[in-house]
Amino acid sequence: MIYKALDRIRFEDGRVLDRGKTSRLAGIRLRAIQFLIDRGALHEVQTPPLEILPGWERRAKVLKERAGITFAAELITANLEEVAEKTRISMRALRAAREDVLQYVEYDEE
Amino acid sequence: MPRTTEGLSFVACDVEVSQDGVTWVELDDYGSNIAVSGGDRRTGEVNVFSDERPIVKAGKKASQDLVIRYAYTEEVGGPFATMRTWDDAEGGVIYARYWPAGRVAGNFVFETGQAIITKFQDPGGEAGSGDPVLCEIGIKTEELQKSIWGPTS
Repeated sequence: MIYKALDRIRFEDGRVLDRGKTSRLAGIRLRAIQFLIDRGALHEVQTPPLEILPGWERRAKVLKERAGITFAAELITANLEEVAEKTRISMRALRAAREDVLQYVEYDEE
Repeated sequence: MPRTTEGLSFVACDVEVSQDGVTWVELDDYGSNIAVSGGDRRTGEVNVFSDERPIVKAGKKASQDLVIRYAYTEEVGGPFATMRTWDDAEGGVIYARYWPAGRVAGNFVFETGQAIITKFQDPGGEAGSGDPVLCEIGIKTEELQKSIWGPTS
């Protein structure tokens, strides 16, 4: 998932997420993320399903069937090595696919 | 609009200082007062012959000052001894942050970023009162940044 900060957040581990920035918040537990959502400091960014992106019908089907990836955010934040193993798509192709998807999604953190 | 029930006192405030912004010294057990000043926006004005009212324009904001008062102690590694070495170091670099409602997830934290020690007060006092000695440290910062204190677990 991708999250957008509605206020500047200073995490206990020293990280900062500035207001308006998006992140997948790697290493932050879901319970903490939910707390911040409830606090009004974060919200989950809605991303499109891959199948509606231009030129993505076939790739979306493969990713959904073999890796359970449906939405753009899931591909952006996925462990590509694991996806490559499940889908038998090369890492190079997956990286290119992710770059392509990033055109359609608001995401500040690589 | 109904009267708020969310008003806060400063009794639960937590405060920390650091020389590098990474390793923090808790002042919760020593600090007794935090005063914030500055940050005012400058304004300029001029009167013209044709009108009684001035033309007023906005300028830029000024820096902010933070003064922390804390209990003077002489233990090794206590805040007085520690911050005195910071004040002696070139540039007098310090970072400070405080949580008015306490260092609890979801509360606001105000941070100086890299700031400058402008005043480091050595102990002073008078014989009769018996009051614990307090010292002050003055800090100047570009701005206090407000954040939400985010949990990680």
